[in-house]
Amino acid sequence: MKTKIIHLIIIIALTSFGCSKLDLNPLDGPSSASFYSNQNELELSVNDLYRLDFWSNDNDLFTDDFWHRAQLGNAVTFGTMNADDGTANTLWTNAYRAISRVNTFIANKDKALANTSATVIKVYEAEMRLIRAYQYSRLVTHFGDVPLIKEPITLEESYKVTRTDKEEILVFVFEDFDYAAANLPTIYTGTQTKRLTKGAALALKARTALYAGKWSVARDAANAVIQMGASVYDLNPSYRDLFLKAGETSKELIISIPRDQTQQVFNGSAYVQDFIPRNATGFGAQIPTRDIFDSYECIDGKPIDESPLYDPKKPFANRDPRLTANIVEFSTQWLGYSYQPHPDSLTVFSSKTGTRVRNNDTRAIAQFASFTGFLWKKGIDQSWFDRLAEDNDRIIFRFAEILLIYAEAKIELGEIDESVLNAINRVRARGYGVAVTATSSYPAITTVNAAELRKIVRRERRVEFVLEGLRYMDLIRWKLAEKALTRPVIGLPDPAGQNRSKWPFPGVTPIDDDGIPDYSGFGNDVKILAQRNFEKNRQYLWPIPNVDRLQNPGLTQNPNY
Amino acid sequence: MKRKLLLLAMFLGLQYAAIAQTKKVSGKVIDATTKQALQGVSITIPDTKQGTSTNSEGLFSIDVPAGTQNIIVTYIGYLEQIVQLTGKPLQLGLVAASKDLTEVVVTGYGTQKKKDVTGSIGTVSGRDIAGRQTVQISEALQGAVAGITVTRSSGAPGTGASIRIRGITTSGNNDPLYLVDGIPVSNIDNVNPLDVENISVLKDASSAAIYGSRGAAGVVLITTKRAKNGQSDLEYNYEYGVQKPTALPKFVGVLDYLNYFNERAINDGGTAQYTNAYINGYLDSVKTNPNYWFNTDWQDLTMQRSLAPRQRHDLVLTIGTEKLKTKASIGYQNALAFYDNNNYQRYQLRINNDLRISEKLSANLDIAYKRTGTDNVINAAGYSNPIYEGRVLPPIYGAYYTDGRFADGKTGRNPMAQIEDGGSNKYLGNQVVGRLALNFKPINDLTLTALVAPSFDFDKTKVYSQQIKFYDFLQPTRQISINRATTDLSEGRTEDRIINGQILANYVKTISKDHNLSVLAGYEENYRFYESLAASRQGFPLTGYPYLTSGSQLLRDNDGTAFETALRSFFGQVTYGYKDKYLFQGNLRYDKSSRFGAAYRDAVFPSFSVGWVLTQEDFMKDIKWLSFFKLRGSLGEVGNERIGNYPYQANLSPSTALLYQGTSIIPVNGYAQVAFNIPDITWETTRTAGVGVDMAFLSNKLSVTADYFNKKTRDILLTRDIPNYAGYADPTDNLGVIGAKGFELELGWRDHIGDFNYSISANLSDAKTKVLEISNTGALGSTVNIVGEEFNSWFGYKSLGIFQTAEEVANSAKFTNSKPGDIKYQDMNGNNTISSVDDRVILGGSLPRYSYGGSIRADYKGIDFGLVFQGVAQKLSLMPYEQVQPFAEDFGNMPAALPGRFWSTNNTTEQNIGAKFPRLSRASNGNNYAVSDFWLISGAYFRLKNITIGYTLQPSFLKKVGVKSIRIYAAVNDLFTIDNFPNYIDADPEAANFGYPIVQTFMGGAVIKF
Repeated sequence: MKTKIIHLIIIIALTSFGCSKLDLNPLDGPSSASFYSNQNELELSVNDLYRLDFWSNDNDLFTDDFWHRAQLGNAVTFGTMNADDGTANTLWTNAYRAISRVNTFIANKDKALANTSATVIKVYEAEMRLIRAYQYSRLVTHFGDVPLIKEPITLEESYKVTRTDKEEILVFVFEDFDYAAANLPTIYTGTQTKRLTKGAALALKARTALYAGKWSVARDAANAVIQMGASVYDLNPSYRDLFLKAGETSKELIISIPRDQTQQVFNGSAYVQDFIPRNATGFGAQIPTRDIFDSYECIDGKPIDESPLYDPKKPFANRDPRLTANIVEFSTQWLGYSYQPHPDSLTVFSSKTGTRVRNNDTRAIAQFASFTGFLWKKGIDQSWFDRLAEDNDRIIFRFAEILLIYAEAKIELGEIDESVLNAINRVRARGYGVAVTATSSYPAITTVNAAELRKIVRRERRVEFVLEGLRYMDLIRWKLAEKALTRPVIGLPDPAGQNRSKWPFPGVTPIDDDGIPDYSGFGNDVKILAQRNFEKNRQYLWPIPNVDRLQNPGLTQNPNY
Repeated sequence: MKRKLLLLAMFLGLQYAAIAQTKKVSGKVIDATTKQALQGVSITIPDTKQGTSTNSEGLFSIDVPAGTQNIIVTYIGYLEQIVQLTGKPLQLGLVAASKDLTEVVVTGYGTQKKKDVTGSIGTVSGRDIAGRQTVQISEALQGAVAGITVTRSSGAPGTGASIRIRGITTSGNNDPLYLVDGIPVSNIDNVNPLDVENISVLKDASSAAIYGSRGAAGVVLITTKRAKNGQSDLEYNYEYGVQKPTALPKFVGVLDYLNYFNERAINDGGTAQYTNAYINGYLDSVKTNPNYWFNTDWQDLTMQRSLAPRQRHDLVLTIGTEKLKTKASIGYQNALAFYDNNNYQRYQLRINNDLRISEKLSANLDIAYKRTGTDNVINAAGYSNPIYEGRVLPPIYGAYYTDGRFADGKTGRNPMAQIEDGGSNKYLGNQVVGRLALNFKPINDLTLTALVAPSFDFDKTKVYSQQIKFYDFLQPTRQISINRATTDLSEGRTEDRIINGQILANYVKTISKDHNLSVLAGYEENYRFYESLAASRQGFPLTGYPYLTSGSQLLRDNDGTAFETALRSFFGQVTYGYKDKYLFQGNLRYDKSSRFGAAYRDAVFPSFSVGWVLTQEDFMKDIKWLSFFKLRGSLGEVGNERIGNYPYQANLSPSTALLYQGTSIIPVNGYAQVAFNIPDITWETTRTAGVGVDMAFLSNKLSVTADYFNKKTRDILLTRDIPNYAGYADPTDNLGVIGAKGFELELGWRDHIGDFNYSISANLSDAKTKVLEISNTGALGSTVNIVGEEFNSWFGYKSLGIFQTAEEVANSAKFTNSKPGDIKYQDMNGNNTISSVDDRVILGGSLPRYSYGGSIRADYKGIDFGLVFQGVAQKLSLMPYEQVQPFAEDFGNMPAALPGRFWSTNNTTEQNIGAKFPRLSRASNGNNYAVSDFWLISGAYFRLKNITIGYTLQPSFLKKVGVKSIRIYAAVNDLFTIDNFPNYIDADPEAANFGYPIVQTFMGGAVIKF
């Protein structure tokens, strides 16, 4: 009996436990340090860096083009950016994550040589170095001197890192771009996945050089892209369509990161509603500023304060067609409703219901409607409203920018020639939807005066690339932020204060040589929506994140932070 | 065989008694305090082995030899009585022993008499737990034991409370280890409070070291009730209660809101949002056009019912025979919230069986099943719960049109619609725990136990978010807004399997009367496997069909994860006592955990403790007033292994990028090591040294227990801040050392005045933590851990009042955008500006200090009374932002505390000098409402936790239908609180900002015994 019971206890003990292992590894993913051992693993590690986290132009809310009704402003436009700023830290952190992954890849890639062709590895390396160069380019343009880390470092080494002169970093960056340009394919065809190209390397090199004022480098890189010919890159025939689904595979796009709702990469209703009109169940909160509206020329090629064609009572008439491609024109049907912020337009016609409906887009009815009076149209179409989701691809670089970089670099170099005018005119003509040669159908540029051309190319960049994340760096490198971002955001007067006879605008806005409008003369006929503030003594560079300076006191800070 | 001999002996004895002269003695034994009949009380005849025990009605009858003068009446937990025989039936009232002396304390893997305990162990009886009338056990522990700090943050249906033993031990998970009948469980609140026999809290390392790497944060041992021999009872409990908030924030009316909103807009550089005409005509507009102009009290609306009901049914069946003892209970609890579509239900079943197989072999077979369900209002995209919405939404938005349809609130944000039509967030948790223990006694004094306890958790979640379309009032077909883009459903299933096995050998021997020795050796394994599955679809074309098949084919997603962990341990314990005078205990545990790399996974945790019972010494024996006096001392180490499942490994995380292939977008997989890995991560180790004293005075009427401890945790796993430019997310590493020092004091008084019995107990404890070592301070948030300071100290600015004039602003250190009316801060680094980098300092500790509690219990003839209080004597809290910060989310409500108390350009200079709040501004919000001593106030409080009055009746007419007794009672929880908030702030010191209120509960119930 006793032995039986002892046996029973032993059996229970052994069957129920006594066999669980202690060498347990994650069940849902790899954990080994022996990665990079074959082509598949190399490709997986490159793929990771194609994610949106690592690709972005700047936030247009940092500029004088774009305003958020509820946020009123941000650390840049309020001038409150400090060393704890989340935006600066995110850019910094994500850029260095990508850089470290590239460095790790380059240090380990040869592990796969045994079973992978050297050519294949070279292409992956080219993609990786292009991505690294792009990250450094983003870092130096925003932070100036930053730590230059070229290979994997240990934790101990990382605490000794110091900032490297930006010029030295740029040398390294251009080497990476050149390596990438030399080893990446020009084009992907058929069933090949469209990865980074030679053109992408050259384009980012051109932009980096332009931002650094290295005009000849910018010129050459841009020209190399232009010389690839229209079979590789060309302007999309339709300006508006380029930013919609129809344009997502256009030959104009050099780098564009795909987004797709079915792949869960999209913005949902909260984002979309901020862009669409209140009549179409939106909030109309993320809106264009009056500044950008006034920046579009009239069809005679003159700014509104010079053109006889401009009428502040019919401000949409006789304007560069890109204005109404990008900003919703009053009294036109937009997403099923006529858009009309006029305080007496208490109802509007809806093509959706076929009746007149209460107009929620006027502040006479909805307290938070139509602050500047404008709504964005660029990149937005009916599908935003239907799905309350948007998954437009994120355009990082398109061919039009190459043309304007080329023009700007040449102008700054004093090399004004036909190719400069042609580059600018190609962009302008496409905006009007005509051929560059049809000079009577659009205001072609003919002047060869360097000062005038500089003004023109700067205005051209602003109106062409609005909402594409380029304006912020332009304001920074042209040193215009201290002017553009110290003027208040202005909007429509409140309905009660709106002088109906001055609808929508009380007069012609004076615009200075830098393209910056001045609304101070309009008194109560405009409403100050928010103040902007830009500290020119410090804000041209972002602060080195405080969290890292706490770790490494050897890391210096930019002035006045 | 032995039994047969015993029976034979008894038979012979009886024969002898029958032959000799005997007399019959009968009587009844009751509890002197409760007047309840006591069952199973031993009645023995002195100097014989003869005896009997009382039946379920407390009655006994025994034949005693003629010359017998006395009988001895003994019962566990009561003072022994030697009763003189009078010849008449005896009416015996047993007095419960002062619990400190005879009480048996549940300890790690065993029990010990309280008088022999050398460690620091707090106990709570099941009666005290049940007497607190809480839904969750965790809440019932509040204020019950010195050294345990229990903190609530919400009174939402079903929520529990956090339990901290002796302050903070680690920067990670500070929950103690919970064991139910020796089996580790994840949540103390899965046990029905009525099933609890007692709870032991192992506070110091010497008592917890036997749990090794899991004991660092303390151990809570719950013992469930079991049947006793001879019991046969059926008990039914019913309780009904209603809850109301202890405090609610208040907000300004609509006209004030509009005016102050304008003031804020102007302050922020804009112009007035609302014209005077608009404001002056507002109320008229609401009257004439109530479907476009609104004046809504959102908080009043969302608090749909002022009293939220809760109820409880419990049925307990107890049968005890010699061979089989069963205690079975079924419980059901439910609670509703202040608004619809939010409730909590719990079903609990527990069957505890004790089987006696043979003289040498017995078994325990316990099965427990628990099912909890919560239904919750769904959060529309990005928005929070109805409580939050009710406090944020200003009155200018409408909930309903006059015809009863939903208005669109703030452009589709309408919590009332959300409550009714927004869908629901359902959770359902099923847990089955089995426990089979075989106890084998091969020889006297030795018990071998083999125990296996599997526990399974099957959880389901279902989040169904319905789209709500809002329509115009005049054009009922015109949709004006929606709450969310699509109707979505996501479901989750998890399975959690834990298998615990133990083999224990326990040897207890008294050698030549004076030497009490007990030795325990054991082996334990714990294996856990967890798996989850999630699936979702978006874009349901129809609402009301919350199953995946009805969703869009296009927008589907799924996910699945898994992990496993294992722990293997050997442990031993030696307890030795000499003449009940000198006591010693030593523990040793050896643990191996799968969570660490092979070379770093072993750890040994030793502890020992000693005790000296002075009252056993001859020189103390004459001191009459001192009944008991014991000095204790202990030293030991325990560990913490709850630091993630594979922290030492270089995990590669999957990612997905999108690329074009031709014109279609395809997902491609990516992999990257995201976090830096530190391969030599190992245990956190806590070393505790403690001294204590247990004393009893005046025939044990007064008892005093005091403890002092000093503990230090080293190798605390902290996020090692590595420079972001190194390119990895921060890893965890053994970096920190935290110390805690503190004391515990418990006082008890128990006496009676005639039939009036009463007891009073009180406790006070403190634990002051101090960060001793920390390599990286981490991001400087609102609380920080800095060497030399308390753990989680408040970190912020020192305020110097409010800027009164532009001149003062100009001449002071400030933020770049500071203006008159903003808070002025002290310039700590003297650089004449204020910045978050250099000008913030430690402002004080954020953790509660000096927790106290106590209770009074009394009874008089069938009436019983109980009162429990609890409080925190020192705590630095932030003022509730929901009540001091205007315009949350930029458009939100304005707290009623502000008008007349904030700095304003409309004020006189004198008014501004006396201002309590900064100017109305959102642009300066980050500056003004940053953590600073401007907003810190004392969060100390005293709370009356519970008052219960009960009456027990035993009417004879009910006996015919088998009813033994009925107790009816009424109780109130959280009746009132004394706190330090200024009178214009109506807040509960425990509540969270914008959170579900802490509630007051009024309840009544009945207990019927058959």
